[in-house]
Amino acid sequence: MKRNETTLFLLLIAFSVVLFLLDRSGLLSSVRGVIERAVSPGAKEVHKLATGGRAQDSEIGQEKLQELAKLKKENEDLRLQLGIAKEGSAQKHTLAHVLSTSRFFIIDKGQDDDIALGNVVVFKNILIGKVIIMSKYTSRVLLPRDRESVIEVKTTQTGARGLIKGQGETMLLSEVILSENLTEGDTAATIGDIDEKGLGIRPGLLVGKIENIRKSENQLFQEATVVPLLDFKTLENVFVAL
Amino acid sequence: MRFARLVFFIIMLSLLELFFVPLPVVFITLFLFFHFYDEEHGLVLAFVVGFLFDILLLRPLGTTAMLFMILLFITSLYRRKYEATNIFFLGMMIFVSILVLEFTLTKTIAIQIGLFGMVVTMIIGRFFVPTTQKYESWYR
Repeated sequence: MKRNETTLFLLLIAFSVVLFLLDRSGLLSSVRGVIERAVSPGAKEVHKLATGGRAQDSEIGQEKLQELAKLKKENEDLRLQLGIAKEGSAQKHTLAHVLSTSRFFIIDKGQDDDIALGNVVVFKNILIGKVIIMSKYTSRVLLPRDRESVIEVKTTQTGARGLIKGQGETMLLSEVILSENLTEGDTAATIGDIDEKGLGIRPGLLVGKIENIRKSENQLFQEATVVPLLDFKTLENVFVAL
Repeated sequence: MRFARLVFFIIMLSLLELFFVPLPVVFITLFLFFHFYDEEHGLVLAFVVGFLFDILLLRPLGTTAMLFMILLFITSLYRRKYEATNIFFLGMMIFVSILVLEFTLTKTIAIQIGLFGMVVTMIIGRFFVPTTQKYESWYR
């Protein structure tokens, strides 16, 4: 490389390091926010194009919110009627649009929308993931199939407990003791880890369907492949539990 | 003007990579431009595109830009050391670069993606890049 290119390379590397340090200190969050705000609407439309532009998903989202509100009211009325009313621990949900699913799952809600790290993202009663990185206006969601993901689950039919670990495109159900019964076609649901503030993964969220059970008498645990219940790449709207 | 068209083309490729196909098509394009046409502008493009990726993928600003530039720089050093103009040598360099890139960013050993990058680079380099113009600035 000639001297000019070497100098340019060193200058750009130095500039990148400065940007990195400024970003880590939070001084560039407003710059990030401005660019995200500018790009988000376009990103949403491009993602819709990538998923085939299924407009009914946004209609389902609005209908679901209305239905949830109606059911909540009915539930509260019934509890009061029966005299078992108590302070609700019902979680609030906010609708989020999916911006990208190509490399990471990115949604258009961030710090400014009261999202916090660890907030759970769902679609109907299916677990989509947890918020792991956030900026002012967008967040990245860790999917169950991502390699860093580990979720404690229980099968819905047989009640077998284990851990689901992400493998990239599929998931592995492991640490299931041999005496537990696993059935192909059964679904794995979250056991839940709600803390005292009411935050965390609630129990009963579906994670995936069990296939290809592997059991060996020489090993302490049995395992199985778990496939996601829906194609994450086709999602346009999800809900974030606040 | 041609450089502006190239910048537009790379931005379109960035959208392709961000929203449709999780393959390092942008890095492959930067690699080809850097090695076959213009190193200076290739570095600047690597910086700009890396910055864009960091914002849209919520990575710390500067990380992807540094990675792109360091990989291009190192492959350039090897190319000069061995005076390698052989397309197979460049194919091997892009294969290793993609493995390092994917491992750093996604913690996976993406051999299939590396092979894809190698084949694409070799095809494009062999059939579409005139070797006599290898060191001339493309946009002049």
